[in-house]
Amino acid sequence: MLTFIQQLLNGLTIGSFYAFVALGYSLIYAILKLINFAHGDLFGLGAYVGYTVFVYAFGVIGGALGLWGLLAVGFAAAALATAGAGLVIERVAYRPIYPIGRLPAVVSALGMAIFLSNLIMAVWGPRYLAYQESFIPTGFWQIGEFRIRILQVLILVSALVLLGILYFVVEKTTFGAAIRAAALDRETAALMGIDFLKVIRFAFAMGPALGAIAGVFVGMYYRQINFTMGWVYGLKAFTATIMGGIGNIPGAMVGGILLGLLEAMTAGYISAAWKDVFVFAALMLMLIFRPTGLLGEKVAEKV
Amino acid sequence: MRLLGKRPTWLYKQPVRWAFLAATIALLLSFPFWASRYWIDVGFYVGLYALLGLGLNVILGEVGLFNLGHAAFWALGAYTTAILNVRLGIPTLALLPLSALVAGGCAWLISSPIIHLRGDYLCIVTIALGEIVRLVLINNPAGLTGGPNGVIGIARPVFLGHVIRTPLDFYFLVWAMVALCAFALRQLQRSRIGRAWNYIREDEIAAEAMGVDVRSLKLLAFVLGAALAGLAGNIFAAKMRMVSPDSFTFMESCLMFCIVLLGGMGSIPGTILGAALVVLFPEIFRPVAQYRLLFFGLALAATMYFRPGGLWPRRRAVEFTAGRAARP
Amino acid sequence: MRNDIVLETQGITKRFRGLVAVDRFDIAVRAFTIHSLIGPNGAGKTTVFNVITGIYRPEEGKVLFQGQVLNGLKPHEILARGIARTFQNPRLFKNMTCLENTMAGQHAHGRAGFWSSILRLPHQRREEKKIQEQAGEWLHRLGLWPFRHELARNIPYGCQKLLELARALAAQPKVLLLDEPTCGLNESEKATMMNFIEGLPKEGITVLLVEHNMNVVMGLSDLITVMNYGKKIAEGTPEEIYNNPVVVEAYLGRGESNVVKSG
Repeated sequence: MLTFIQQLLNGLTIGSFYAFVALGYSLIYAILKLINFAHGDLFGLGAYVGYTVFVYAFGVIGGALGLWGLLAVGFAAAALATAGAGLVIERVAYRPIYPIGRLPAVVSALGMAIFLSNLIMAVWGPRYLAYQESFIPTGFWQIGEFRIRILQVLILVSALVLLGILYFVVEKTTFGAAIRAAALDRETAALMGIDFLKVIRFAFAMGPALGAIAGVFVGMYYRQINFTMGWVYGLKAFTATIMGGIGNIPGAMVGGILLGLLEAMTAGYISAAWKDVFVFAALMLMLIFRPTGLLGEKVAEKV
Repeated sequence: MRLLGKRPTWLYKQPVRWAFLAATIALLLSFPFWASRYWIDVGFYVGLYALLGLGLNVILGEVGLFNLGHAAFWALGAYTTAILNVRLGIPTLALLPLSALVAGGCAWLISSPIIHLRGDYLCIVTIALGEIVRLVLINNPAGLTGGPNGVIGIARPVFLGHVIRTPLDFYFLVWAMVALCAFALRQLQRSRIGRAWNYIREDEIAAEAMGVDVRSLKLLAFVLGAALAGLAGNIFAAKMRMVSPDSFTFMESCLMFCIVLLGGMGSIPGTILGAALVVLFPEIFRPVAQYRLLFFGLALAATMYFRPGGLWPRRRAVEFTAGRAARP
Repeated sequence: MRNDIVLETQGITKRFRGLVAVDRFDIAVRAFTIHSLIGPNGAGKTTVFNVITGIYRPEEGKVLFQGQVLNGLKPHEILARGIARTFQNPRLFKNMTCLENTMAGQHAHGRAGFWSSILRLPHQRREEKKIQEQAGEWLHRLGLWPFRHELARNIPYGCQKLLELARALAAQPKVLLLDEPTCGLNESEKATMMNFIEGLPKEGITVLLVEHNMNVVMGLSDLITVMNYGKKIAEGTPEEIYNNPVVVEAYLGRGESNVVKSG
């Protein structure tokens, strides 16, 4: 029972990371039908920017605003910087190439992924960097045998709140309707006066920003970051996106959490070494039997 | 075609094409006799990636199936050679066809249930497949794959009593395979099978409505492409004399994907050029070793912007006018 | 009378998530005739084509071709039996030459396999030559020969429609399904297309035609079937359909029948 609850909590935490990152993939895929391979590395960039802010601004901001103030500044800086990077990449590497065709766009996205991870390595070096304890909320609650870290609760709550807000924006507001319309049919949406560029910019700012928040959380949770982390989390998060049904916001959330749970449970009960094999095998089975994902709708192709 | 800019037509006259081919072959044959050992090795890797690229070109370039896990089949070929040679002592060269067979067979088993998936879904499945193969190799099932350290001590291949050991030997081995495969694939391109592959790439539904057995032909392409990767795996294992999971990462699959698109989808000379670029790029940028992949990423995006059809696209109209035209 | 029916559907029904696109639809096409299928937009005509050619599986009903059931066959198997089609918006192989596009029709009749293609065995060479010649002949007949080495996407729209027809004919079909062959063509192209279609039954090709242009339909058809909301609402010779009040109503709504007659 103890294992189960611990793994449940771990799974939910990891699942939240995936959900955060999955959203970025899902938003951009829904609108552009492009797998943004650079998204995982934007997430990595977020972790590094957060780290830098914490290390260099620790004395100044930490002194003035305390730990929580420092955290707020760190998250905001990471989110803003990464959103900016997302917008730049969209402008430079996708917008000129997207009209040419989908395959060139995929290659360009791969190029950007390679570029970003190597940029991170060039700037911060190839070695692991450690998030120090001084800028991580280390408290926990002890309930009987269980230990719940405040950080875990923080991660879960922020995932729920931020994704809830995003869901509200996309499903209930006028701008959200514009996003959904653009996702359904770009040309008709443009004819109806929807500013497609604005929708794209939203996706390329929002997705990476959420990814960056996850990046900082991952740094705090595991205490260390590396320039290859973008690829690892990116792939898992993309798996989550597909599992939930691509282009579907609650789907990305559900897919992320499910994937996190699957991973934690396999690690806890079967074998930690084989957990990723299970995850990817589950993805393959899912695609064979329900290719549109758990929450995706089945659409007949129009001929 | 207009997008790619105007080119002088004399370039595509038949004698010019033959002369160009002859010059390329002459260059490739003479290269190891005036280049240093180091550059002969580089030449070997160009050939190896050309072989891998040609395999992926069948799947991605000819049929348009997004395969981002091609390294998995390369790994299957390499590990087949390594395990059977080290455990059972089967000669390395004899394992060349067997490696292709195992890689192709596995490709058939794996792709049968997923081949109907379209575009990005297939792309994700193949990425997952590549990861599964790599992780299984690391996890050392039944002590066969040697875990993260891999398998060591693969015997050198022996060809008609001659031990293939020097960079020069391997250079010729790999390029002989490239030449053989390029020739066979060229013949296929000009047959009803090659055309049917292209019909599928251009419009799957129209192809099916025109009598193309889409499923079987997609499977054929997948198996053939994987088998070529299996060949490359065998040669790679023989050259390194060891295999380990580190060699078969997602990055390798990405590079192969880029080779095909840099060169031009469905273009055999383009694929070989793409392989040369991908291998030579880091060599040329060795002075700025730390930043070379950074530039590589930028170069990929830039190439797709300036030449979205690839650097050396296949020119069908020219092929027909320069070669045999139909005269009823 | 019945035994010269070459293509027949019996009560086919196709639903899309509750929407009934084709509702217990019957049609019987007699050999060596031009049979038109007309109806307002969204009546389900193209869906009938997609069911016959195996792209959609019908929920109910049977498709019979020369007395054999086609249900469950894949599109490529149906083509090999002798039913070819064109699409409403040309679905050409855009980055391939016109000659290669036309050669596609011959694919199902080719036999050359993997190894004989690699080795260019004599029988493969002979077959290739035959395929090219056949394709070239259709290009000639449709006036597309000058474009044979052009990529399909670079030729004018009217020629693309003709090329699709050439591709379908190269498959040597017994029945040809044409989905709006004159849509988007100018008057002279339209005339070329009509003349050509008119001659097909004499060459042993039965035509099932979906068309919006009433001049084309009335001029070419031996028999016309009218459908609306997925159902057959009328059938008869052009004369009968022209004077059928149900048809006029389906097209124009109640009480407007005089408009169609004066137009």
